[in-house]
Amino acid sequence: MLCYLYEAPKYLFFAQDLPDLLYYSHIPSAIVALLIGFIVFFKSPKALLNRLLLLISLTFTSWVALSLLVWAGNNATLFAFIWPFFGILAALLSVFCIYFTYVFVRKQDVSASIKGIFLLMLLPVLLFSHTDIGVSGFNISYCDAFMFEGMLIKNYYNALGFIAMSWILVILIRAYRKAESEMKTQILLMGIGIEFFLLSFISVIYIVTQLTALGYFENSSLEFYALFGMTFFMMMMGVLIVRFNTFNIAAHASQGLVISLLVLVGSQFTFTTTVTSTILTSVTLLLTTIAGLIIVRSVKREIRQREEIEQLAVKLKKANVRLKELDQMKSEFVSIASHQLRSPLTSIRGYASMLLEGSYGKLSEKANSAVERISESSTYMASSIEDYLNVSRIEAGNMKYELTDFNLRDEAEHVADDKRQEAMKKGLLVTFKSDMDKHGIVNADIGKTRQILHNLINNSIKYTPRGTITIFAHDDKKKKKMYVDIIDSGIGMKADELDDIFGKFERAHNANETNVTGTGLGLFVARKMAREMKGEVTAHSDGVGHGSTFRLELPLHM
Amino acid sequence: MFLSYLQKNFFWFTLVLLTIFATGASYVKFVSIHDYTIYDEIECDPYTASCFLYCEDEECTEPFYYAEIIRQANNYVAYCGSTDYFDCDASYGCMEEESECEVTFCESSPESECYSFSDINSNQN
Repeated sequence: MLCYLYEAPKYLFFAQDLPDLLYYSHIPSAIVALLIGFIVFFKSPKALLNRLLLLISLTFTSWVALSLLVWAGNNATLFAFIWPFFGILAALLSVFCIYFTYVFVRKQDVSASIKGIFLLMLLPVLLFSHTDIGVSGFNISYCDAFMFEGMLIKNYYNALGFIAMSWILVILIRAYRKAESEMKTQILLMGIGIEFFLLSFISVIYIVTQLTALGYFENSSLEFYALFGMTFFMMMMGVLIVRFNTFNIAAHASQGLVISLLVLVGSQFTFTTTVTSTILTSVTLLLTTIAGLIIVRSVKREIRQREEIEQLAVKLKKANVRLKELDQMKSEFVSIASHQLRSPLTSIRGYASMLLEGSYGKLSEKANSAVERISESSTYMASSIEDYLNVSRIEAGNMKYELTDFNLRDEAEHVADDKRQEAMKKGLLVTFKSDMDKHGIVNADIGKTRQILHNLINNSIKYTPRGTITIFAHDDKKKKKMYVDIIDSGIGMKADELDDIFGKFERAHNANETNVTGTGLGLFVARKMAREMKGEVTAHSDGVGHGSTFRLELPLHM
Repeated sequence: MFLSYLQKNFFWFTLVLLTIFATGASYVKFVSIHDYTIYDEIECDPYTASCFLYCEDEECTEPFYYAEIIRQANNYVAYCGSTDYFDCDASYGCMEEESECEVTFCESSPESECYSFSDINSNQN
C-alpha cells in the first residue's frame, strides 16, 4: 500500500520537494553521533561507558534513519510498521541516558534493582506500542499516523523523557557535590550536554507532533530542530574527550570533531540555491578543513608530549623504588659488615689496653707509643662502626627507644665532664653553664640522649682548632622546652650549609682544611635520634671562622 | 556457565527479547495481516454531496473537494492488493460488501467549512 500522493524515493532517503532543513538536521547529527560513538567504542570495546555511548548513538541514529525514511518515502505499509518504533526508540534513549549518566559519575555498573526499574519503565512501550493503544491506523493521504497515535502510550514515553531528565539532574547534583574540581567540570559539561539533548529531543518532538495531530501545523517539520540537541551533546562529549581525555581517545576525538564540523559545513550544500551561497559554503569548508588540520596536528603533538612526560614519570617512579631497594641493601650490608668487624676490634682494643696497663710486662717507650696508636685508632674505628650500625638501625626502623624521666641538665654536665679530658689533650677548654627555671626533667631515652650530646661535643672538638667549647643548659617554661647548646669557637660555616651538615655522610665544606677524620654520620644520627624523641638538633653559625652553636632541644616533662 | 552469563546480563537479554517481540508483533500487525485502520481523502462531488475543500494556494486555483474515508487496511489490501491506487475501485469509496468502512461527508458546523453546489442559491453551507 502506497501513499499515492507522494513519489517513490531515490536510494530510500532522497526525494524531491522535501523541507530544506531535513537533511541538514538529520544527516550531520547522525554522522556526528555515530562518529563519536564508534571512536569511543573501538578505543575500549569492553568499557561499559563506551558501550552505552555507542548505544545512545545507534538508538538516536536509528530514530533519525526511520524519520528520514518516512519523510522521503511513500510506502504506507512500511511506515505503519515503523511508526511504533518512534516511541520505542525515544523511550530507549531516555533510559540509556540515565544509565550512561550513572556509569559516567560512578565509574561502575548500576545495581540489578536499578536495571529492573529500567525494564519496568520500558515494558509498557515495548509491549503496547504496536497495539491499537500505540498506533491504530495510518493516514495514506498525508502519509503519517499522527491522527492514530494513542495518547496513553505517547504521553507515557514522553513522560519517560521528562522523568529521565529529572533523574539525571538528581544524579548529577549529588555527584557534583561530592566530586573534586576537575570531575566537577566534567559532570557539568556532560550534564549540560545530555540534559539539553533530552530536553530538545523529547519536548520539541512532543510539542510539534501534538500540534501537527491537532491540525495546527501542516506537517511536523519543526521537529527537525530537536535533532540539533544530539550534535550539542556529542560536542560536549568531544570537549570532555579532548580536554579531560575522558575516554582516553583525545587524538582520535579531535579528528572526529573536525570531521563532524566538516560534515556540518558540507551539509549546507543540501540547501544552497544560489551561486554566491555555494561559493561561500565552499570557502567556509576549505577554511574549516585547513583550521581542522592545524588543530588535529597540534592536539596530536600535545598528546605525544603528555605521553612522553607520563612515561618519564613512570620510569622515574621505578628508578626511585629501585634506589630505595639499593639503599636498603646497602644498609643491610653495612650492618652485617659492622657486626663482623666489631668482634675482632673489641679484642684488639682489649689487648692493647692490657699491654698499656702492663699485664704482659713493661713495654719500651717506642712500643708503648705504638700500642697507644693502636688503641686510639681502634677506638676511633669502633666509634665509626657504632655510627654505621646506628644509621642502619635508624633506616631499618630497628632503633629502640626506652623513654624514662631524667634530668637533662645533669646529664649534659656529666657528658661535658667526660669530654673535658679529651678536649684538653687538644688544648681546648670545656666549660659548663646553666640557666634553668625548672629542674630540667625530660622524658627520653637516656642512653640515646647521652649519645647525641657526645656526638655534638665530639663534632665541636673536631672542628675547633683552638679556643673554648661551652655547654650551656637552659629552658623555656613557656614553650615547655629544654635546650643544651654546644657553643664552640671553631671553624664555623656558611648559612647555606647549616642544614646540609645533618645529611648522611655530609661534612662542612671547609672540614678538610682542619685535617680531621670523620664519617659524616654523627650529626645525622644525632638529629634522627632527637626527632624520634620529639626533639630537634639544629645548628647556627655567624659564618666561616666565627664558630658554631649546636642545639639539642627536648620537650620538658612538667 | 550460560545460566550465570544469562543472570549477569538479564537486563540486556530481556531488553533484546522485548525489542524482538515488539518488532515481530508490529510486523505481523502492520505488514502480514494489516490489522489497522486507514484514513484517506477521496474525491467528492460538491454538486451531489457536501464536501471538504483543500487548496494548494491562497487563491485556490486548483480546488480539491474531498470526503473522508475510514476503513480496515486488510479490506483495502484484499480489494486493491498490488494494483495501482488510481486503477482500483476501492480507492474511490467503500465497496458494497466491505465491512467497517465509513465515508464521512462534510457537515456544517462552526468549526468546518463545507462546500455543496446542489443548492443553486448558495455555494457554501
